[in-house]
Amino acid sequence: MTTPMRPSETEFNAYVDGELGPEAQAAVERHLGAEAEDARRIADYRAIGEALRALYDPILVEPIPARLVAATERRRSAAFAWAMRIAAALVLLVAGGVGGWLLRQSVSGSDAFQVAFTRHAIEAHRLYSVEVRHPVEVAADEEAHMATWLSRRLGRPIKPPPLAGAGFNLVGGRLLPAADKPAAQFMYENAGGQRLTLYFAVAAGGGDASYHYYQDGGTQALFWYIDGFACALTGEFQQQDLIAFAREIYRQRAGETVGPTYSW
Amino acid sequence: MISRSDLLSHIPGLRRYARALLRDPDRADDLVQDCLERALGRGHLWQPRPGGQGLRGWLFTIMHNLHIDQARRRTSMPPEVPLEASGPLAEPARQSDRIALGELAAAIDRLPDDQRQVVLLVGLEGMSYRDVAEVMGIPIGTVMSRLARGRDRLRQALAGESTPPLRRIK
Repeated sequence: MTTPMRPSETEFNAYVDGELGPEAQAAVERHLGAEAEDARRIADYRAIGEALRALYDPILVEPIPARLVAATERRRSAAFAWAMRIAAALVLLVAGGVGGWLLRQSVSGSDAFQVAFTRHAIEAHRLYSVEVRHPVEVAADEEAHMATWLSRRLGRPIKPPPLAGAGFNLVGGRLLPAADKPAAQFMYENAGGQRLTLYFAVAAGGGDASYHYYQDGGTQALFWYIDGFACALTGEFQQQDLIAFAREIYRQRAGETVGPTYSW
Repeated sequence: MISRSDLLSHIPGLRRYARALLRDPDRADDLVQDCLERALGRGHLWQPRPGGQGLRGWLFTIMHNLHIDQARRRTSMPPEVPLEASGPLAEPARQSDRIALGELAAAIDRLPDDQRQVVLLVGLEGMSYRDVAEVMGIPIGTVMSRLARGRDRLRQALAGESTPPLRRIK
C-alpha cells in the first residue's frame, strides 16, 4: 500500500477487464499515471491475457474433430458419414446457418455492429481493390512507416501480417472510418492480380470466438474478433480459400511469444 | 430447441477453453464431446430469453459441471502429467522481456483449479464477471477474488525471483 487511495487488487483486475464504471475507471487511470509499479502490474496482466490468446487461439481455426461433429448429430444415420466429410470444410462457417446468408438478414445487439463493420469492410474493399494507380495510401515499400502511423491512429501497435505463405504480397495500407472509430485496411495481391483486404479496428469481442461468414454479390467476407480487434478479411474468393488465408494469419501468430512487435 | 449449426458454432470456443484447462488434447476433446452430448440430451431445458443465459453460457455451464465431476472422481488417482508439456506449446523464452508461452502454460497448470477456471474464462474466453459467476454457480465477489489471486500468482510465477520479465515495450 503506497497511499490510502491505492485501488484494491480487485479494482486493478476489474480495470483490466473493463468491468469498472467510468468514474472508478478514471480513478484507477489517475493512480496508474502516478504509480509506475502498479502500471507495470496492469501491463503484466494485459500481457498475460495476450499470451493466453496467442497460446490457445490457434485452436479456434483447427478443423473440428469428426467425433465432435458427430456428437451434434441427434440421430446417427447413413447420411452421417457423408455429412462428416463435408463438415470438415464447413466447420468454420459456423454462424447463423451456413451458405450465403446476406447482410440484409435482421440482427440485434452486437451482431448489428458486426454487420455494419463488415459492410464497411466490403465497401472499402470494392472501392479500393479496383484502383490501378492509387489502391493504397502508403505502399508496401514504406511498411515500417505505415505500421507506425496506423498504430498511432488506431491506438494499438499493429503491423500487416505476412501472407506470402498463402501467395499474397502486401500492396500497402490506408486509414479509413469504421462506424465511430478509425479502421485500417491492408491490401494484398496474388500473382494472378487478385486482391484481398484485411480491414480492422479496435473493438471488444465480448468473447465471441467464431468466424462469421458474409457474402454480398460476388464479394465474400470473413469476420472475427481477435485480441481486442474486429477483423474482416474480404475478397472475391471461395469460402474455403478465405478460410485458408485466415488460417495463414493465425499460423503466423501461433508459436510466437507475445511481444510489442507482434500485437496486431 | 437447439439448432445443430448453433451447436457447431460453439465447438471451437469450447475446445479452446477445454484445451487450456486440461492441456491434454484428447482429454480436452473428450470433455467437449461429453458436453455436447449432454447438451443435446437436455436441449429442451434451454430457451433463449431476454436477460437469460445465452447458449454459449449454458454450454460452458454444462462443461464446467462435467469438469468438476470428473476432477472430483480423479482426486483419488495419481496426477496425470500432460504429454503436451514438452510439445509444441512449450517454447523456450527468446527474450527476457517477453512471456515464454510454455512457461505460461506451465504456470497455469500449477494454479488451483478454481483459480485456473476463472483466469481462463475471463482472460481467454473474454467472459464478463457476471457470466463467469453464472457458469460456475458462484457469487461475483468470489469470481473477482479468485481472479485477483490467480493473476497475481501467474505474474509472480512468470516474474521469477527478482527481475520482472513481463515488461512490455511500448
